[in-house]
Amino acid sequence: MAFKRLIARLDVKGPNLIKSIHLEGLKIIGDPAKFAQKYYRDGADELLYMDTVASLYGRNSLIDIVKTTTKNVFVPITVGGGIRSIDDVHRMLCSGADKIAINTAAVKDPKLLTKISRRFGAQCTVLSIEAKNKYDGTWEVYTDNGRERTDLNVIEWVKKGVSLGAGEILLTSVDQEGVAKGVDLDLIKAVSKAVSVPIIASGGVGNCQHVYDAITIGNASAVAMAHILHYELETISTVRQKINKYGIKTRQI
Amino acid sequence: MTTITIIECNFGNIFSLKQSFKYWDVDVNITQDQKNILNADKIVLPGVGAFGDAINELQKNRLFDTILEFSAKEKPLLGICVGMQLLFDKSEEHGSYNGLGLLKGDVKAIPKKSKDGRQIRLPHMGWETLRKPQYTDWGQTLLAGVKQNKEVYFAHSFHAVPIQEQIVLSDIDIGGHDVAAFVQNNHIIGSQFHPEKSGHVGLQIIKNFIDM
Repeated sequence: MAFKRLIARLDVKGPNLIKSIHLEGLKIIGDPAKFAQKYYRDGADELLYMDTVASLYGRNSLIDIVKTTTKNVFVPITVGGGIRSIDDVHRMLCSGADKIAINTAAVKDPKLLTKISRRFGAQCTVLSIEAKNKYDGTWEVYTDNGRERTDLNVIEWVKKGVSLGAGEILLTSVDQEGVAKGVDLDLIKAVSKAVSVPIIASGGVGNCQHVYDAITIGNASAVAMAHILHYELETISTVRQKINKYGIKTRQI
Repeated sequence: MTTITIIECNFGNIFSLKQSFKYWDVDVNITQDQKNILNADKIVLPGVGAFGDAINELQKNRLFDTILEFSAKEKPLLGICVGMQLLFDKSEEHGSYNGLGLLKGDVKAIPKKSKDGRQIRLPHMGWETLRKPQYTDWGQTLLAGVKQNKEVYFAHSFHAVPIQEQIVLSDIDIGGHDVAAFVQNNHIIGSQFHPEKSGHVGLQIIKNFIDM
């Protein structure tokens, strides 16, 4: 079965790579394509680009960044943020994206997942979920980069999303995002149990133990990292070495 | 200089494929034109999405017979992912569809359970180790120079089951099931994984195709 994947997550606003806390309060980090290239060289199994303000302004500024990136990055690239139609998806795929992550547009029109999945395949259709813990054993779906409530229950929504055609789940914990204090393990566990497609755990990774926990306890197929990489607490390659040492199999660079 | 001709399909990520050839400084021609395809040196048949849609699209653009005609010239033809599956006789994905029939065998769904009864997460997405079956020799093939047991990137729910075992240059293990990863029968080549997304190992395979 496929090795556990280590994914570098790059949140982008306009031309800049940024880092947020709880998906808010943006800090500029640098040129996204340069960081992408660095993470590819360090052995990232995949890259994830998210346009953080696209839903808000109804546009996606990632096309040029993705095009530049694919000149010298030869691992899969997932792109999300502000994608709302089949045409948007097609444009992104033609610019070098392999998978498309959809959150806000799917909540507004769940059938969009089916349309994308039928046309481009389930492997291309990533349901992005921004989950906020209600601390009553449930989580609520948020949209617009953690800004808007939906009243949707995460577990019900994830099941519906997969039945509509999503082939992978990008699961971001809004509570844990940007604080590097660990992932929401109960959330990852609950979502992994609810559906049989691969799960990417995102939000909260500050050290290798967090990655290890997301995979072994949460049963995540992949872990997305931002803070830990951007602030050079670890590199993809040191994370890989450490989790390999504790028995998690990954690609060998 | 060699020109690589990629058959344009309306539901795929051809851009990255093109970039992986550009990396080696070759000219890339992306086309749906019958004449261009017939006169090509080497053809790449990409494909994502469903088998039936891909075949319908080829037929709609009158490329089904064109590809067969090209192949009859015994020039290199590389199918990637669904493009590999299209080379086989037929597929059971969402119905029953006939493929190009250039390789003998059928396309089937990846089993939902591992041999020891565990659930397999599908689509099958991620990196897997390329195994070399004992009977094969990669020396004169498209995998020449690729180190054994290196990982490459897969994203699929279906897989080809070739009738002729000897065309399988490499397979992978999905939950105890052997799945064909790379096949070659002279000039007809199929890759279930994405060489254009498989780091330096994939780029080596791309280079081998250019040099073929």
